[in-house]
Amino acid sequence: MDNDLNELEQMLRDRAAEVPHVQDVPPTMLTRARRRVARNAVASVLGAVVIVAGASAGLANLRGSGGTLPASSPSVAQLTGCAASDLQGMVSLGGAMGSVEGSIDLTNVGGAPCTLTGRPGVSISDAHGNEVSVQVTPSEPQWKANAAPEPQGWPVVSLQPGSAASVRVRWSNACPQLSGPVSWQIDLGNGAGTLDASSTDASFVPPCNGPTEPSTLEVGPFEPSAGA
Amino acid sequence: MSEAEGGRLAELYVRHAAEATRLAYMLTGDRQLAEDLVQDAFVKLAGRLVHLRDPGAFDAYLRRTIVNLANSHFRRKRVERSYLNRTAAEPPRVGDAPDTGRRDELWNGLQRLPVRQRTAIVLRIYEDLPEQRVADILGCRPGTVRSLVSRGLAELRVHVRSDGDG
Repeated sequence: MDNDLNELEQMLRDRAAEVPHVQDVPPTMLTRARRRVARNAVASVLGAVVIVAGASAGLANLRGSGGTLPASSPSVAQLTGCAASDLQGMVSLGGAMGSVEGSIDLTNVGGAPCTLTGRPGVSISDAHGNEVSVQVTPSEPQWKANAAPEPQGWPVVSLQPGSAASVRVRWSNACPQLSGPVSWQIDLGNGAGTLDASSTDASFVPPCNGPTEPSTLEVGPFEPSAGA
Repeated sequence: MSEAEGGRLAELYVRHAAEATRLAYMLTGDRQLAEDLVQDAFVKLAGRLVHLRDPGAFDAYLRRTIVNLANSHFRRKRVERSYLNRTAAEPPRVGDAPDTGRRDELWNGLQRLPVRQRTAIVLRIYEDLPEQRVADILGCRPGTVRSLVSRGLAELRVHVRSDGDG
């Protein structure tokens, strides 16, 4: 066993030695980096314009309807979109009528506030790392299912360091029956990257109720975590 | 991006690119793809340098970005399986190291593992990271890392044995 590991380690080191020690900085990389930074800056400005316009419209509505203004609202104009490397994912599931249902919680473990918007791409891998075939369909957010008031700022979810966003999921009919454990992969979209979400119980998989029917995965949009 | 930020990015590239390329090469088995992924990682991180309060954390940040980009590459293209089947059937590419027997079998076997198993093995055995750090990067529990490594090594032995028999 030790011999096998030593041989594997030595093979990896031999392969690593094929990569030269000193590398010049590719001019194309710096050009792309400058473009990306400039694009992010433009996106931030456009985002700020949209938010200011939305806020103005909201104020006008409140004034028109005699409503009261919220005490204060965090400014998200300067916040950037969360990257996968900023987040840590955790899946919490429970059994529900032949399905497993729950949420994917994404905690900002980075050092700066950031935002999430829209609906992530979600995929599931079996114990061997192979992607499980599922038919993904959009579902409504948990707050709407609970008939709760719309969270402030939604559909933009602002995450301070340490706070979490949530994505509602419901998975049904895993055929052939999986024995677990499974892992969940979350694609944040817009090139923000993909992260793996660990599970409180990785073996939680739905029963195979219809071998000829597809396995379905309902995925909601980002929303503030109920525990946030 | 200011001149100073560009200079800082270039400095970080010179310091970290070789090691990052080695990691990406282990994960993808393809030198050119590895170099592309590393460039992509630095471009991604360029916009976030301002948020990097702890310069010592860049190494971990870069490693995590490389792993995510490699995972995204295989998932987005949805070619991992066909790629592995194809490379398993192909003769070695031009520029590959000459066949040195069992070590080539190990390398080919490693590249045929599912991406999460391969990543766990590379991070544990090549990068020599503790289980908890690997778990943080993969977004799973340390027990899952142990399981991925153990299953990966078992599959690797089967690959090497069957290649050796063939």
